[in-house]
Amino acid sequence: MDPIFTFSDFSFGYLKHELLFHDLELKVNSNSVTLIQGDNGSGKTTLCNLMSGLLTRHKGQFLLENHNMDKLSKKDISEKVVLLKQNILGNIVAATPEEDLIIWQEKFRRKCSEDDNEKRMKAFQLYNMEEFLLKPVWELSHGQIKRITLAALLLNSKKFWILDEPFSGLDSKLISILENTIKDRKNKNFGTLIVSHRSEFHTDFIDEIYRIENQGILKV
Amino acid sequence: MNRLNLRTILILVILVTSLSVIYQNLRIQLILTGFTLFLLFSFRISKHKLHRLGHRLLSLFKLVLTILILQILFRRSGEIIWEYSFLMVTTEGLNYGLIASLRFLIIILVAGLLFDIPYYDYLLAFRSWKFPFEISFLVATIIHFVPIFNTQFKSSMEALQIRGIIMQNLPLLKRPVVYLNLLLPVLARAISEIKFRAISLELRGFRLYKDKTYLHEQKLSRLDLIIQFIALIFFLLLNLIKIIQL
Repeated sequence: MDPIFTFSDFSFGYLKHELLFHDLELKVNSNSVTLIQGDNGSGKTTLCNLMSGLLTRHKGQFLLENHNMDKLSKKDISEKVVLLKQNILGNIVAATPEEDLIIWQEKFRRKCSEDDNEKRMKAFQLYNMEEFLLKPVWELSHGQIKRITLAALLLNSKKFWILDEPFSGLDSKLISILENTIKDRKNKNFGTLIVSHRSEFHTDFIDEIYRIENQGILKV
Repeated sequence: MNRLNLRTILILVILVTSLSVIYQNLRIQLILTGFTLFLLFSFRISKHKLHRLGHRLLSLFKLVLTILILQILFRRSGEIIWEYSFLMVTTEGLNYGLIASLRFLIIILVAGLLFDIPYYDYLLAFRSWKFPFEISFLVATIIHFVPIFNTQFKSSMEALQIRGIIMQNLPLLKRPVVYLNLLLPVLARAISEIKFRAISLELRGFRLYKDKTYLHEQKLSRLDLIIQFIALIFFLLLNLIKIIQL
């Protein structure tokens, strides 16, 4: 199995003398499902932000598909991985769900094709979003906004998914849909990293479980 | 300096910004910028906050530089220092350019100082000045809103980066469209939150009783009184000199 992320002798801290990770060693496989757990404030979200290129300035080796993360451009990183942020509104940039997914596809550079429109509609249908497509985001509930972000993930099915607390705020039906999507991806050799402080979802599809503890990561 | 009362800081800020507007003098602007920096650095003890300020200044440096260049190029009176085709740098242009950019710098520094002060401190300061609570609440809320808006906007920029939309790589004409797309939802969300804030205030009995009580109190120390007194005298003196000169 090829690792998508390799951390070796890796250290990171927001402040110079207060390290969140120290001499971290970790390999995340590109085609398996990995779960990382940890207490509040242990650095789970920070790790997600580092992996998606939102945070930089680390020490030690940090590779994305054998390329040094420092040398990769933001665009290169975004072509390989997609992050679902824990702060659910932080994933949305547009005023309506439809507009938000169109931005995912068009990237302010081109117009959506018929194929794009079809893919978008399929994604909305899976999460029962058809009736909210043109409703302003600020009038939607937390769960409905989460469904927009999950639908957006489906447009990025060929990238490695990093999901920060993906099951929070979802009902059992939606949890089951998301779990099945992750399983389907795994069968097609597309990996997912789930970061969560809870494990109340089914873990039968998870290949590896790690726990963040004492500035490092331990295999469970 | 960290123990300075917010009222003292507000007085100093009002005096510095007023003098910066009144005086069209480069030397005075430099002194005021130096004083603002001193105020800021002595107030912000934590290295983290200093680092954040440095970062903020660096990101706004381009804007300050643009103001400087525009002022230099569009002022054509005074002695010519350098000339090429229709471009001209004059002594007055240079003077005005430096004054305008220093003024802008003072505003950035002062805003950086004020936005980092906790919301509750403003309520206490305004209460001490006997401001009606409705007004102090409004002002404090607006001051509190700016960093929240900033965080939300940054978060939207990150969301764009995750999508592979890198602002620097977009054509110049596309960028305003992108900013408009980001700004509208952030503003709309903020406005829609006001409704819930109003309900929350009513549930807490906002203005139900005439006098509002506060858990903490901010008393002026002797240092505060001395600084306020000296600053006011200094301000009056400078204005008096200015009036005499006229």
